[in-house]
Amino acid sequence: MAGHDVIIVGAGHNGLVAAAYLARAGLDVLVCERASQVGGSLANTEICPGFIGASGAHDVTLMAPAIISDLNLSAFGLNFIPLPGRATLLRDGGYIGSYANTHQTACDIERYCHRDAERYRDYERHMARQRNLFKTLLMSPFPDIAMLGRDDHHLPEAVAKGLKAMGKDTMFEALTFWFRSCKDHLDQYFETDALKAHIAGPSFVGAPRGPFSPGTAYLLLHSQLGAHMQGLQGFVRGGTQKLGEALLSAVKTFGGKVLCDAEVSGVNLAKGAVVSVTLADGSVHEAKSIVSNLDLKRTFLTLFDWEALSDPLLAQVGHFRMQGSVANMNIALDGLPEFPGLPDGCPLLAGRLNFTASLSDMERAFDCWKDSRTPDYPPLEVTLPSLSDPSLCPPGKHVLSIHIQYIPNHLMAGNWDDEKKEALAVRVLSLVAEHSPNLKDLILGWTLDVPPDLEDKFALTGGDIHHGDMSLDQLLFNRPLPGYTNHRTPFKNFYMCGASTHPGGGVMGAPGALAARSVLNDLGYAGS
Amino acid sequence: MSNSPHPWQEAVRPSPFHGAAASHSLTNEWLRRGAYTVADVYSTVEQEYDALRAGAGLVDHSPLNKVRISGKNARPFLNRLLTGNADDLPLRQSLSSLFCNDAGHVIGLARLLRVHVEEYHLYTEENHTSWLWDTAKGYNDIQIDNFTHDTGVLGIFGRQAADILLAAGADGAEELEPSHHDAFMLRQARLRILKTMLMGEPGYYLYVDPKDALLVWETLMKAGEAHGLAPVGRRAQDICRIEAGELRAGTDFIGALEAVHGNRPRSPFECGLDALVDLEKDHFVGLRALSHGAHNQKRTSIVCLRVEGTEAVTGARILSNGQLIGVVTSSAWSPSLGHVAALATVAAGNARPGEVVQIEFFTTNELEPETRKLEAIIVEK
Ligand SMILES: Cc1cc2nc3c(=O)[nH]c(=O)nc-3n(C[C@H](O)[C@H](O)[C@H](O)COP(=O)(O)OP(=O)(O)OC[C@H]3O[C@@H](n4cnc5c(N)ncnc54)[C@H](O)[C@@H]3O)c2cc1C
Repeated sequence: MAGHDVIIVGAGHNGLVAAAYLARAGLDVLVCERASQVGGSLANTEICPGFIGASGAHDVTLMAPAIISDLNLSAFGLNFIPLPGRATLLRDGGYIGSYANTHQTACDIERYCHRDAERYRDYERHMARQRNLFKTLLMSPFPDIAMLGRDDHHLPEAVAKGLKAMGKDTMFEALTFWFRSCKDHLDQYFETDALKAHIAGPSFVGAPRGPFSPGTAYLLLHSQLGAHMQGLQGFVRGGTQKLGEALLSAVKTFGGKVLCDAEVSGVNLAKGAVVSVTLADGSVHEAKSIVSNLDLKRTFLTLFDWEALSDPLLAQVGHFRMQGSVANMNIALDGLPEFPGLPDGCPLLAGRLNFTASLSDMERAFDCWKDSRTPDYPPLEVTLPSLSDPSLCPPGKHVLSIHIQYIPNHLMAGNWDDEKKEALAVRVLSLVAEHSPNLKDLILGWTLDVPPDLEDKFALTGGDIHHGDMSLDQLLFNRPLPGYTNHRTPFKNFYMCGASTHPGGGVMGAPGALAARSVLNDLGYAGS
Repeated sequence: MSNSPHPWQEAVRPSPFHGAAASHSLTNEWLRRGAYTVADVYSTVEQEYDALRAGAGLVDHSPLNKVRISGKNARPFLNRLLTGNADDLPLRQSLSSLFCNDAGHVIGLARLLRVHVEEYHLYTEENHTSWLWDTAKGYNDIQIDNFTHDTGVLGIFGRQAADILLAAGADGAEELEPSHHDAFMLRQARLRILKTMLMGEPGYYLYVDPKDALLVWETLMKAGEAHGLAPVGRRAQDICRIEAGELRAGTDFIGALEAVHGNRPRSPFECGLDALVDLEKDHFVGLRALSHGAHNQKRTSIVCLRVEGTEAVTGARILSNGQLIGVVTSSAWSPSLGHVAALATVAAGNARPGEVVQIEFFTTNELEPETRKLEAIIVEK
């Protein structure tokens, strides 16, 4: 059987983005996906009949606008709903809100602290400079730092230009910013504890680290990367699965083939080069290039014979940190839950809601995670997508989704079981009900996935939704491993395109797009 | 607090003079400035321009950012902040100045009023309050508060301004020396009046408690009836500003704190504001950078242009011998000069008065795309 140009292992959104770019360039592309549907961690779930929840990602604020337009995804039925902003509801009944507009957010903060409102403008200006630098890094392959300065290794032009235009002061700011803890960074600007927690909240979803951990300031930036690039994409109409489906249509339209229920059990080597994949049904498919959408550990530890992995590689992959820290809950509701902490007519109800009042509270919850216990007060991120997307449930009913943070994969008290999950769900519902008195009366049904469930459902090692901790030792020139930047690997013809690679996790598409670029370059399609 | 609008409703608010301004507006054209909306045009740009140049114009400058700096150390702090000499600024006088960061890049232009022995007011186009806090670290006994929303600012400029103020009953204000200010009563309103020049016209700034805003406005308008006074919107003000070569932060240069790109900030010399920098001072923020030959290391200059044709060319590229050398930052047809006047940033070395340059921009003519190429000449500021 004639080989393909490229086989992509896994049809997560990054695999599909890579496939779409490669097929569009005229290559013969085959995508093999283990599950019966595409999209990976972009998946809808039926909470109870007629109610669609998100079993993976809730929103797609990070999705790169350039990819949306390059691949013409709107033509394939993709429809975004902007998020109006976020609110943190406080125990005393007040709230802190942020909006797309910095000035409006500063006005909100003004109610609590004049000083912090002024500082917020500073903070946003700093972030704007960092985003501006990062924007260039995000859409260009990261240089191999060990090779820089050698004869024919230069910073990619865009990066060099970005660094040059940044100026000395911003460069110094960047260098300290990347290493600092979120707490230290926010302490530089703000006094109000609740405001710091409000700003940090969404950045820590999926991070197995607390705001006091060094290097976590970067997470503040990562969670802003998409939204501020220009687009206003928040939710996907019909649920995030629709993004996977739109990508699938794009791949097919460009001539790519996608096989579902086609788990890849191994890749086959000849003289140090990868030449084919073997599916679980035993069939072998050849290709000039093979791209893995799996996380780093699954890529090397499940697709290769371990003997083939050289000594440091096996150890490095083994030491790559992938740890689950998020549980995901969806609730079907008989009506609109009230949140009296928000004034009538507040647009933020359709955005994201948090309840954590201080960074210390977050850190204490993280301490529990370290001890393999579920925290009593896990930080929660609540969304009511049905408010802006009535197609998710019957008229007048609602769907509520919750990211529950710092939920460990393994529990000191034994494995996760239904009883422990039930206890967590009850706890979470009562925490939300503190801010929503009528919530409990409205519940028609719920689902809860803890990290081991996410591992089973989405093939995420350790249940880590970002395919690996996003700390500086695993980011930028270190993602996935030092020396393997540009989405290439030690094996000839073998690439990676998932969230384990630069620029990292979340629904962004950038790893897939960058991987496609490297494949095209190596196959001599540099011009396309 | 409970009656005030919600934060998502009050981010942009009407100026304290809005009620009065709205009653004079024939066009209902408003424009956002800072945290406020102000009138863009009241009647017609031409009428308003003419009033300002021939009689007097009433301008609402409430969006200006206002900071009170008080305490024993206010004086040494301000002297360290500003590039001009603020140390012996007498009571009831004012100073036009600017302030820089350590690198000697302009953060903003400022007008400083000394209102009490230990109290100063600083007026700027943009909000730099947290920079002021940072710069004041290490000084004890100093308070820095932003009072932007607690004061309305009304300007009355033009050759009739003094007579109008007299007719309005602000007794004594006509005796103010230029750049002097004092507290006055205008009917029941207590206010501070500063005499200064703006847009090339002599006149006054009135600093008003928002509760008195409508009273002050109406009193001046009534007194000005016989003197050709008219409210003047932002568009006509802009023409006069460009004619007078006055720069606006955020429009003609990017403040060092606002800049996202590190190569955008400009030194005072690059802005042509040499006169506001006192290199003989012992110290101010940015002095070291500025006294080390920043004069000679100018990368760009801000120049005035006289442009062929009749239309505004803001944003147009400037070429010299086919080479891109700069960009137009503000421009307008000037009725009194009889040509299009513009402010522009050009690469240093291209700023000689008399030099002819080419202006190029894309536009549409009834939806037909056109590339416009015009000539311009650099003129003395
Ligand atoms: C519960 C949850 C909530 C989240 N919330 C958000 C959010 O709100 N916002 C956000 O930006 N991000 C969120 N994320 C993270 C985000 O969804 C992921 O980081 C991102 O989707 C990863 O995409 P990917 O394409 O790199 O990998 P994946 O989506 O993990 O795709 C990998 C694919 O490979 C397939 N596969 C695995 N093994 C094999 C094999 N042997 N053979 C063939 N196929 C295989 C998998 O089935 C899967 O389809 C969330 C994730 C989860 C799980």
